[in-house]
Amino acid sequence: MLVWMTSSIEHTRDEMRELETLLSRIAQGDKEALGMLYERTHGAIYGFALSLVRRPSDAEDILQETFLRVYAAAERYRPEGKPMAWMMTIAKNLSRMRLRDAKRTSDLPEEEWERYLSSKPGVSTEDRLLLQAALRQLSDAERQTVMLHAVAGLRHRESAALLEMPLATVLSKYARAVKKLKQAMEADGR
Amino acid sequence: MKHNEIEAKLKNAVSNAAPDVLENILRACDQKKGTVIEMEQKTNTNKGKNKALRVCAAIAAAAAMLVMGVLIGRGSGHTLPLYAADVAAIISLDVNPSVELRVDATEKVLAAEARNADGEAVLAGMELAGTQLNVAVNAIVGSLLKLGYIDELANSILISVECMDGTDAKALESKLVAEVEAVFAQSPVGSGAILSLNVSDADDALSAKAGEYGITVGKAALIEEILQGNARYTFEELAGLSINELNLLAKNVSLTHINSVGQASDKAYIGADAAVEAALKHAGVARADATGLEVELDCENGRMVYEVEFDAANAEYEYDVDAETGEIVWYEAPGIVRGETIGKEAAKQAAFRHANVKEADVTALKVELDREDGVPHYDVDFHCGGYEYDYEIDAQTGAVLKQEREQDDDAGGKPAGTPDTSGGSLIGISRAKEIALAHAGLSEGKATELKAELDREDGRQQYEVEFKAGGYEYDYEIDAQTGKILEWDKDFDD
Repeated sequence: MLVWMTSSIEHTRDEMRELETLLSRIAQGDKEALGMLYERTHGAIYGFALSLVRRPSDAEDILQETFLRVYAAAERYRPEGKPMAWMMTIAKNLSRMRLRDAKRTSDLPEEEWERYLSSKPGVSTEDRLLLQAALRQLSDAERQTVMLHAVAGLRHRESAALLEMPLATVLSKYARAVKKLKQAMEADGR
Repeated sequence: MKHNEIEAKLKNAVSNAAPDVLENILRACDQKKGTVIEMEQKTNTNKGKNKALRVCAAIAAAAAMLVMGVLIGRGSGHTLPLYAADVAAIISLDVNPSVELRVDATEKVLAAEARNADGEAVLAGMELAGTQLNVAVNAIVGSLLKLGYIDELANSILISVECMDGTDAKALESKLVAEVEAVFAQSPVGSGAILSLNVSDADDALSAKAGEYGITVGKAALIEEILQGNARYTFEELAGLSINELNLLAKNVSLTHINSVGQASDKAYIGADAAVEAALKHAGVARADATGLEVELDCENGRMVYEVEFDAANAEYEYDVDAETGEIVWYEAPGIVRGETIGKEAAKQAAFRHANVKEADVTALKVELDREDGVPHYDVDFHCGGYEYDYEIDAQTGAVLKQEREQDDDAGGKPAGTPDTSGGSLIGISRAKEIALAHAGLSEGKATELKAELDREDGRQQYEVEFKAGGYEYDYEIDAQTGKILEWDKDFDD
């Protein structure tokens, strides 16, 4: 008999319900709930923002702005079991705006990224290797799909809707992304 | 390393790298929400040193600007029953974001609701309940423009009006069109393309269809009209298109119940001329020799294409050219493969140029002409600088049709020339497939998208076999010599 393994990275229904409860508390102005939501989701939002805007400083701004919007708009959220997708939509729109009217610095995102990572003591060599591979070796779409599924726990179907791509495209981009990251890690002897 | 390990590691790495901005956020939000004007003043006098505070103030200012009117009640839209007693009309605004407003007989907004995730983003931070309809429409269209959902590349909006008894739908529709036109006129986009219709008498079948695809009745009606004019499309593929794309397709049919003002923008596309050029070039036909030339923006499997048709030398040519990229998606042309190909040398050079590599640095070069699938092309594969390149070069034009670059399996951790362990012979791809299928308890006929390739991992050759069956996706790694299953995974195929 086969034992199938669902990817545990996808959020469970219970987790989503918990996030929705937090959102409804935030709608009442509960900042403790905002803090809890932040703890649980900021990595995902940051990763996705990074996959879109690429520059760590821009991604940091998007992270901040997204939570401010969530705080302002939580009462508009409709509990349909997709709180992550909702937050990601906000992050996506903010990123789009940012890309549109960003004043370009002369630094390449890679250089800024290098500096940023070396300033973060919590980032291990392995973390750095993976993040740099994600930034350098993946295409934009690959990076986005992998951040949404592996990091944010969105279902592929949700990623497809968010990125406005056919599901099949998302699946193949995702598979390629993971394969490339795997190769990058193995090339490094890990 | 397994895929799920990579996923977990990436998640961990991102989380370690993420900055901690919670304090900034909380500080910025300390200014109680709702008191937007006050907050704006505060930052002005504060010189706004804190970035988050500035951001918050900017959002607040934008919200204040958009809302303008009097704020009444809490306006938590979704608690209002769909057809509450005082609802006189329901107005939907569709772009790709979809937003619905319910108003009473005095055109006061009772509720504003998003109909999709993008709609949520458009409404985020806006308090529209209690405002007058014209103010709300202004704010929403303003937000659509600001967020870039409407711009010079895609300028269409669909307004659908559903009126309860006694409300004049026609009058309301014209008023809304005029309102939206005015917002466009003041925006950098200048002029919009506005479609409008009255859906008060929409039949149940249409409403059911709209519900099934999660779109508004207005959009469903627009799709139905396009389908009536062109039976080749399916409802499903059109449901995935934006209003601007539908509006462009609607140009080819005559709309009966839908009013149309302005021109839908096709600036996101290469244009009919460029599409014709691409097709002629591919066909090797000079423009002067082509007769009966026709070109039309079309949709193929949910993808916007230019359909180009012409005759030359007593033969008919038909092309679908990707409207965004100019790529030849499909064609029917007689005698296109006449052996007049650019040749292996030119194909190879085109690939090298694109990859920006020198021929001297290239190893394991393979160039092959493939006339079998799609556009005749050269497959050009080579290794260079630790990467494996895979190109498809159009055999007639030399254009790069496809390109892939992957880190070379041999690069990195292992010294070059590590002897591979392939002392013995390999079991072969078909045996690998058999092993995987047998393990999954499936016959080959039951599996779809069956793919297998030889790969090398940790100096060991292995077959990666993937297939789908019964709603699952299977993934196997099989030792290429022994046929032993090294790793396998079965996952929901979502």
